[in-house]
Amino acid sequence: MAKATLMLPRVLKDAVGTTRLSVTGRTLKEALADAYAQIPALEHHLCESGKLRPHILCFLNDDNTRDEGTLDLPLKDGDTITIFQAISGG
Amino acid sequence: MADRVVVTVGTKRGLFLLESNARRKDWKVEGPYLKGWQIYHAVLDARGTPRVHAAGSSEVFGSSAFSSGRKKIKFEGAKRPPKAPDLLPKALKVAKKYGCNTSKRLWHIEPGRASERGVLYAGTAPAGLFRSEDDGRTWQSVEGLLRHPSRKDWMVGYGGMCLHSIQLDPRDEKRMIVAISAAGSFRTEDGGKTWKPINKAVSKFKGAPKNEQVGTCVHKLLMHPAKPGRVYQQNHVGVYQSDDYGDTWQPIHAGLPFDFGFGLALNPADPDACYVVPLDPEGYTFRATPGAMKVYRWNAKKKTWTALERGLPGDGACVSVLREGMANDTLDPCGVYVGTGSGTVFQSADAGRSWKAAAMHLPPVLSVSAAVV
Repeated sequence: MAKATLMLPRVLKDAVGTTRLSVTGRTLKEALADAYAQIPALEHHLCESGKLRPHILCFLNDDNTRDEGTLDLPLKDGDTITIFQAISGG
Repeated sequence: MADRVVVTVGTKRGLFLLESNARRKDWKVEGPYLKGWQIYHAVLDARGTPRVHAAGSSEVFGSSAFSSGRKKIKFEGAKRPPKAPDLLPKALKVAKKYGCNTSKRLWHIEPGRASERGVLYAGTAPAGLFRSEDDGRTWQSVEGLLRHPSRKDWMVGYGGMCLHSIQLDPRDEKRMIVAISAAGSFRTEDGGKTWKPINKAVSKFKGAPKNEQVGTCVHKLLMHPAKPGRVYQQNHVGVYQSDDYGDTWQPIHAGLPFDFGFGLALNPADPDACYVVPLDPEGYTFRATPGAMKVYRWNAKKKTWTALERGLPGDGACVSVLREGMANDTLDPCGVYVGTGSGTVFQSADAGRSWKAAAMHLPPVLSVSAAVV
């Protein structure tokens, strides 16, 4: 099991109490499941119908996982998972 | 005399708190709190140690119920937030056809009765009713309403299908009325197990389903706390009064410039009064005041409306007031509050005779609510 850090946007701090979480898992998917087990409300805010909500991007280190088409990506110690929200308008 | 009046102002960009003393002359504005969340409704729960509860929604992260003490504001999201149900096929088809909002939002939070410490109710879009028994940390669906056989005919409005009004009978712990746009109003007399549609003789909107029980577009419903049975509703089509908890309704909109509007407020000391802001539903001011902002006060004894405009903007004012955008406090004379889409909260401390802006230049106001602590 690898140990990683999950970084959340500031707007979620009011909802789940933190912007940084230590998570473990063999894959990114398992690490997110660990985060949801620690904070059940987090799954409600990040997922809809079992998938990441449409305006959320999940990066594993510098890589946008949407480009990979799967969350079954291997995790290694020290990885950083970052949740971004889409921002647009003007 | 009460010490403080707190007005919670939910906006498209967070929550603001307005506080004044019982004279309600000068207002201190705090906020924004919950930045990044659209606050469809918020309320100061004055039972016991005051707490602020807010219904927050985000286009990115869904919605949650937030809660904080009043003395030191530090919001926490629900551990298990209310999860709005899915739209059923008929409503989903209409929503797609007309581009109605189908996103899942938390719409309204209502504190339980004084005897029900820790109990809160919440309404969602799509329509669902939820109950918390731990001050909003966890929420359970009130399944009796979702199982109502008329639900297959509940319809969406342009803003979605929201359960926006939750009214608890202070004399009967088993009686509650909820209102859903665009389905209608429902009453339970057994604590939420079974629900009776109470929409008889209320006008239907164009294209409403041919179901005798539902198909009315109630925009806001309030039960008067002092007069048993007295209920008012501002509907998409008219304003109505009931004296039997909604079994029958009398249209009372004759005399208003428009029967269309969203918000509604009461005078706790006078069951024969209610307040509305009629909006022009058509034309260039679509769903806005028609060039002057006026609040109208109903007198049920005389069956007349009085236009209240002293201190409100004329001179071409086209402002919108949403369904959670009006509120009253419980002082006598009562305070009345109106939040506008242009970011102003107008306030009267004399039951509507005169008005002034308590706060200006806020983000678009979605909701106001007032409490005396």
